[in-house]
Amino acid sequence: MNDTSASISSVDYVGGMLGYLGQSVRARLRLIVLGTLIAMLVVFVVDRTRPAVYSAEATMQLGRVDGADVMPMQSTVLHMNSAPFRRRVAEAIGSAGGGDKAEERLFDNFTVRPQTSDLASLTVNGPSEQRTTEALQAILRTLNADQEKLRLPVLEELNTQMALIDANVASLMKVRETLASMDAVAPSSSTDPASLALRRVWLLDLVSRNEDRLAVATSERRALATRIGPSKTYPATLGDDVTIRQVSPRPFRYAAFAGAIALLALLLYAMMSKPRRARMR
Amino acid sequence: MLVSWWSFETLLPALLDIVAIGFILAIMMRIAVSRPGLAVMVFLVFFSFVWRLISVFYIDAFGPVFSEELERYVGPGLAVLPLAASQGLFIAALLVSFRPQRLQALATGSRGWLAGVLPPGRFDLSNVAFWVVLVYVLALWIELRLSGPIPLLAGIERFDYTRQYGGPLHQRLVEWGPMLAFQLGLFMTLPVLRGGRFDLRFAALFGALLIYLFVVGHRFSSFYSYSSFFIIPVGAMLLRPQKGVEQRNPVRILCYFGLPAAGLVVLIAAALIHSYTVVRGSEIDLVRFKLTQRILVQQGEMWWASYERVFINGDWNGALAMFKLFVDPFNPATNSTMQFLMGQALPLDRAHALLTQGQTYTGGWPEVLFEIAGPVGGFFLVAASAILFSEFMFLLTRCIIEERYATCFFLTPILYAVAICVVSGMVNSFVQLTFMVKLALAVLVYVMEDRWRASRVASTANPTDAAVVFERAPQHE
Repeated sequence: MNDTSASISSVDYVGGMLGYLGQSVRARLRLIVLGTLIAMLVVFVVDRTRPAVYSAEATMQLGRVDGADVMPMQSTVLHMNSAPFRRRVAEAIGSAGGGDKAEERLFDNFTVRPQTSDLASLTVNGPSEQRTTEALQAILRTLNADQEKLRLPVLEELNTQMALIDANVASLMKVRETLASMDAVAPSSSTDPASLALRRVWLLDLVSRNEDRLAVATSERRALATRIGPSKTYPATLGDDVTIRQVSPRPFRYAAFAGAIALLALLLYAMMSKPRRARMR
Repeated sequence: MLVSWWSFETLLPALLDIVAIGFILAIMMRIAVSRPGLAVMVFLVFFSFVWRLISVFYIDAFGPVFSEELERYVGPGLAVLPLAASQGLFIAALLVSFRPQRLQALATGSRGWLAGVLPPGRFDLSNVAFWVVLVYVLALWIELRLSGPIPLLAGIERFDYTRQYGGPLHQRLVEWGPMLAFQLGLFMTLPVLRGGRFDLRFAALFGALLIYLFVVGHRFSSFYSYSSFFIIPVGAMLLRPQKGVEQRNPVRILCYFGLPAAGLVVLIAAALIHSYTVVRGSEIDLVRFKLTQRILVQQGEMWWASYERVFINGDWNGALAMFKLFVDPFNPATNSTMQFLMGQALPLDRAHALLTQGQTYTGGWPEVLFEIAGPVGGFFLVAASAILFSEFMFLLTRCIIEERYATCFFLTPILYAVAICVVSGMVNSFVQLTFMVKLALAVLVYVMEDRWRASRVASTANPTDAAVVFERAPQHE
């Protein structure tokens, strides 16, 4: 008997096993090659008959009003993942595409993932590149339509403030014109230099105070215009980079998977069946 | 009416908890004394079980206690009971898988079989493994020296070092380290299986790896997981039924590891003290609070949160859990179980902010199983996961005892996935394509080695007949 603590040659050990594998493969080579190829071919043909599915991925920027999110990111994701929202999206896409139920189901499986506090990635599947892009737009339209209920009261309030400021500015402008006209007619209405001087001082004071108020009102209007302007108030938008790729059919990919699985199964069969016949002899 | 602390209402739950925790601890102690090999093999799981049990008991008995991570009070309750029942199921599955009759069957003809049929030759397997790992460990130290500051001296957190300075070899160690530790333990133990002595070259390599981890800022968890994987083959060796006069005393072998274990404890203590006093010096005033949180609260808080949701409030949604675990996790590249549990226990934005920073909480098993199947069905899933783990560990033990090196090598990633499933509840690793490939390779290699050994036995028994069989085999199809 050999010494049990003797070293083991890795060359003999690995070589022995690989040799056994090679022997098993040679014994069933035809079956292994044909079986693998048939599995690949079947999957390739079956997969090619499946309808085409495209996946579009885009980055979505959340809508804002007055510089604040219309809805926080987590609430937006929860809202978009809710069943009623998905149903509304499916209906919006379905009505545009002729009400195809299979298409609606395809579009219904869109996913939203938060990326940062105001950016989310949006992925949707569709039967063609164009329809998938339309689906992205439809999701966005539905979201904006839903958020419009939240945006409108804030916008109305801002617009009311804007109207008040506009009225104030108009009133101050009118006062300015009146004061200018009073200044112009004043010399002819009085000949007393003292009262004329006093009147001019009074008018100048009024003009100056009016100008101050006008400047404040104009500044307020500018600030309000910025708050409802496109830099601080905008609906949810999609980024320009929309990635569209075909996710099905992918016959080569699935055929390779099927080939690998069939190859593994046949290799196992080749190795496991051989000793049985040896024992039978 | 004044209710004293020993009243029936307060004493009964505490007594129930104590009985449950005492029962589980007694069984573990019994296993450790009567079958030390089994305790060593599953040290990773048992240690985690004991810690979590004590933590949940603390929350149950001394609650409400404030949880810093959950930002709320947790406890009191009876959360220990379902946890202890789950751990009891796990231990039962382990004892059934490792029953003496099965182990006895492994003894037949396994000792030194490979060395008997393979003549000594070029490239001794242990030497090849030693030199490969030695080159890697040396390269790791050189990479550390060249890549930037040394975390221990610069007071850098290990996560920051890995993210900012970690080179490719360091990254590989972070990903595959526990598996490498298992292989080192295997090669250290193999000579003992053939009647020799431990190959201490591999213990030295393991020591060099631990010191490297200490230097790059690792603390308790890495030493715990690396050491637990390293001693699995030692446990398998101790489980091997002994025949003849060469009875090995398990106590003597465990004493053999006493000194290295003491060194490891000192290393861990130094790493923890360094971390709290130097790396996190600003938190020095809060050390007592932080240690209480780390030791007594954080291990059990996630189980308590799941217990409250599922067992007390009946608030569980299996479909949502499955969707968040397998289909749409926050980050599919990492453990989706803790992502889901954190999403359930914390406000969603806070959970996502923490997960984005790469921070996760402790626990996962058996929380996730009860979140999927509810308070009753969860126990069936616990039993299924326990059977999966224990049967896999028995398979691994068999492969170690029968010196199936190649199979052991390819089973190592599966071992890691199965162990992490039981400790952290990670289940999404089982549906990854890479896991499928590893599993397929492991099955292929297992069958190849098994059939090759069978053919060697046949050819040893009757060389002429076996050769004729192999030559003629194709003609009989």
